[in-house]
Amino acid sequence: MEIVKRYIYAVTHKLPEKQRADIEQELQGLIEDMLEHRTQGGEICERDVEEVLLELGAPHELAAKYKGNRKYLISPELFDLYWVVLKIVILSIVIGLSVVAVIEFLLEPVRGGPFIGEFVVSLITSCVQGFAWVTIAFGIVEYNGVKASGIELDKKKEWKPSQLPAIPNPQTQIKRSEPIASIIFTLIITILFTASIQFFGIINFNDEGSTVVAPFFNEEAIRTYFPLLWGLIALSILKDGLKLVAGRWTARLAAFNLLFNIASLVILIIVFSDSAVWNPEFLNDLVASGIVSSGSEGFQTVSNIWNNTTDSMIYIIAAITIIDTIWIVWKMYRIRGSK
Amino acid sequence: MSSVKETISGLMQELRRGTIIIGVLSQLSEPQYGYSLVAILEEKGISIDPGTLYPLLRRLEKQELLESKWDTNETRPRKYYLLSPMGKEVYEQLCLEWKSMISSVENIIEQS
Repeated sequence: MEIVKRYIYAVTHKLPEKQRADIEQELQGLIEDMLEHRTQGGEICERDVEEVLLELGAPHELAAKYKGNRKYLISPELFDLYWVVLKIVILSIVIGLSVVAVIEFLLEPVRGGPFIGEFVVSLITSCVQGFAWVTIAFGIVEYNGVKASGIELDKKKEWKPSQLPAIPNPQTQIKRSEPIASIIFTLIITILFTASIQFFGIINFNDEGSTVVAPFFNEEAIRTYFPLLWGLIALSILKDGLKLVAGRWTARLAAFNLLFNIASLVILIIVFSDSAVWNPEFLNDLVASGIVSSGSEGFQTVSNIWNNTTDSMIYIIAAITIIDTIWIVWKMYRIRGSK
Repeated sequence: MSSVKETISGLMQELRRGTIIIGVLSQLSEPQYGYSLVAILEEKGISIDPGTLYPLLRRLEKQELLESKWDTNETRPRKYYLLSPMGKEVYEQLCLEWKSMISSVENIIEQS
């Protein structure tokens, strides 16, 4: 009866462990009953066994019946959102890596052939990674959502026409393109910042065809702040995601935006109040790159701008944040006004 | 012509799906194990293959319409299913619904 054991194993090995033993025993009993019925108590031959198993059907079909209908990694309810997020992520990876590649190619044009190969490989692996992580994240959401039977609870609630969302007021509406563009921009900056921080600077293409960079940042120092900056980026994407889902300005969304502004201000102040993040040799590098010559009028202007900017970076960031905050408050005011 | 047959068999399957549950519930005021239930229903003209019935019994148990118990005294252990109090109530209600559905459908068919 080896084949019966194999059949039962084929049906049950993918079922939840808790039910497995029970179903195994039940199937064993069923198959024995069916055999007995077929042979009327007589000798059981191989053909009988085979016919009984054929009657029960393909093991994966039987297993599917035991599992019920829910066979989604990502259910139709979540799929639209999944699709949007996936497109954003893949597009950002492609654009970001392409920009990095173009910069690198401009800096080292000699490497032609192998360089393109490397670019294609990194593009493919990154896209696969992006796809995998988005899918895993949604899979987890789906799994937990169903496990907590949250979806069922929603279904049980009575639906009332008064729950229908208001047609968005054009003044408070958020166009989908706005948060999407913002997420893509954020992701591209992240990729550039993480992958090639040393290219953030003044790039000079020499007449001889070589390129020299005078970087803005001290790579080593700013890298220690990367985890903090990544946190900020995650928050920023969360903020845009909420905007995308909400589709219009609400009091809660505005409140979250204000919180985000405060958080981003705190993080950026922490980073930029450390003067070590700036490249201490920037002015020398600039001279070495041949853009300006030491002691010239141009050099004086550049060094003034550089020193002023690095000193007052915190204030610039604060000013931008305040402007954005005022804008949000104004939006809020309009929401109030439109009610 | 075959497409008409296919369509009919697909629609029949949908129609049958609901009736099978009534059939199963109707026979479980006495405890039965899966295969005995197949035989009883077959005898009464409702054919259901075990591969459909066994998962269905588990689902009905999960919905708390049935209770189950293993009997290990016989030659082979068998899982017996029995209507729960809730299952009994649901079955009675289903029967009323079924009757009113039949009379409505018959009405419609005769009028057309």
